[in-house]
Amino acid sequence: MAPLDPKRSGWILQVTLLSLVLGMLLAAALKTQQSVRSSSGIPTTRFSGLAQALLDEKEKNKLLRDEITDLRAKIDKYEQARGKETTEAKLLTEELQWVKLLAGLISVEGKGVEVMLQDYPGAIPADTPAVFRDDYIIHDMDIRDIVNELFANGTEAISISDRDTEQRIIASTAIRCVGGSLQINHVDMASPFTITAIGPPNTLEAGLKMPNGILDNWRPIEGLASQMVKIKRKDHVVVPAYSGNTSSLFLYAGPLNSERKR
Amino acid sequence: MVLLPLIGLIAGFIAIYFMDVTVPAGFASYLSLATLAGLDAIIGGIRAGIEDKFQTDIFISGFLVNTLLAVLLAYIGEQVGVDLFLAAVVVIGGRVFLNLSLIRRYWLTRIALSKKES
Repeated sequence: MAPLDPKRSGWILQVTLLSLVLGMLLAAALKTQQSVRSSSGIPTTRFSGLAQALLDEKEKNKLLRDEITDLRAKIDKYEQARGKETTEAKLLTEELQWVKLLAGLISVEGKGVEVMLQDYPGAIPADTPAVFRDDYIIHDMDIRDIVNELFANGTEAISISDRDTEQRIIASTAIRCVGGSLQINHVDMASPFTITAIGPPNTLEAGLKMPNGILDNWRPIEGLASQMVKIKRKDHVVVPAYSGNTSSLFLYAGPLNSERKR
Repeated sequence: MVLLPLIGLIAGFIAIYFMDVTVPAGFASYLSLATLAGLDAIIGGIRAGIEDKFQTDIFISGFLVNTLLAVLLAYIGEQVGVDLFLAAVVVIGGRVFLNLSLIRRYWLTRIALSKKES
């Protein structure tokens, strides 16, 4: 390249000077973006990347929940093996099993009912008034009402499942709406749901269907209720153990007057 | 001589990159926009230089004002809920491409000329 005329090349120095500043800006921007990414654990801000990250996390969570279930089952086996050693250990093990049953930490089986709930499978008719549009969707309150009614009629264990996960209802379970989906035990769930309850099948079914009960006049629009809810009596159902984290439960509450102060 | 701006860019980059300087994450997008505006000013300066129209005051003030204006616009956009950020990116990005194409044309012409002479 031919050398530039020195008179005319003064601008190059000035451009160089600001290039230096630009380089600094560039480095700072890059470092900031990197630190944002590494601190949030999200690899990118683009939608496709975020969707993938979400799926990966969901898959990871599912694996971890499965692991919890496996480990709990193992602990159970060890406890039962210990329980055979002495009478004292046996009594303690029996007591422990009972407490675990109360807490929902072991899987249980028995007869009961299954309640299938799903969003209306067809399209919402275009002329539906806005006030009735919510009727075509299963809401958190529907599930809460049914769970409440089931417990009121002698249910001993309930789990709720969707396509991905099955969640045991325990004392601290919250069933809530988070925008487009539900959270049960802080796990995202979506329609269709199956509520599995162990208890007296006939009483449970009658309780749900009783006049002025929660499913009486539920979704008054013609043909909705029959598509969105189905109740089946079952001779044998399995309700799995609670698979969530238990170490973050009881951070604030401790036994009264015990020496173990929190 | 021609490569000096590039060397300056790399030097500045290295200086900050290996120093322990961090900017709050909330400013990340503003900083990126400021960088883009700065790039536009530099490319614009180079173009003016090779066209013999370079003026120091226009160059320096352009760099400062464009950078600050872009950030200010993005900030106001965020406050009022309009993506003015995008307006800045589109306008500045377009200008960078335009100026780069002019610079490219200039160098290609020079190379063609020097080949003819030799």
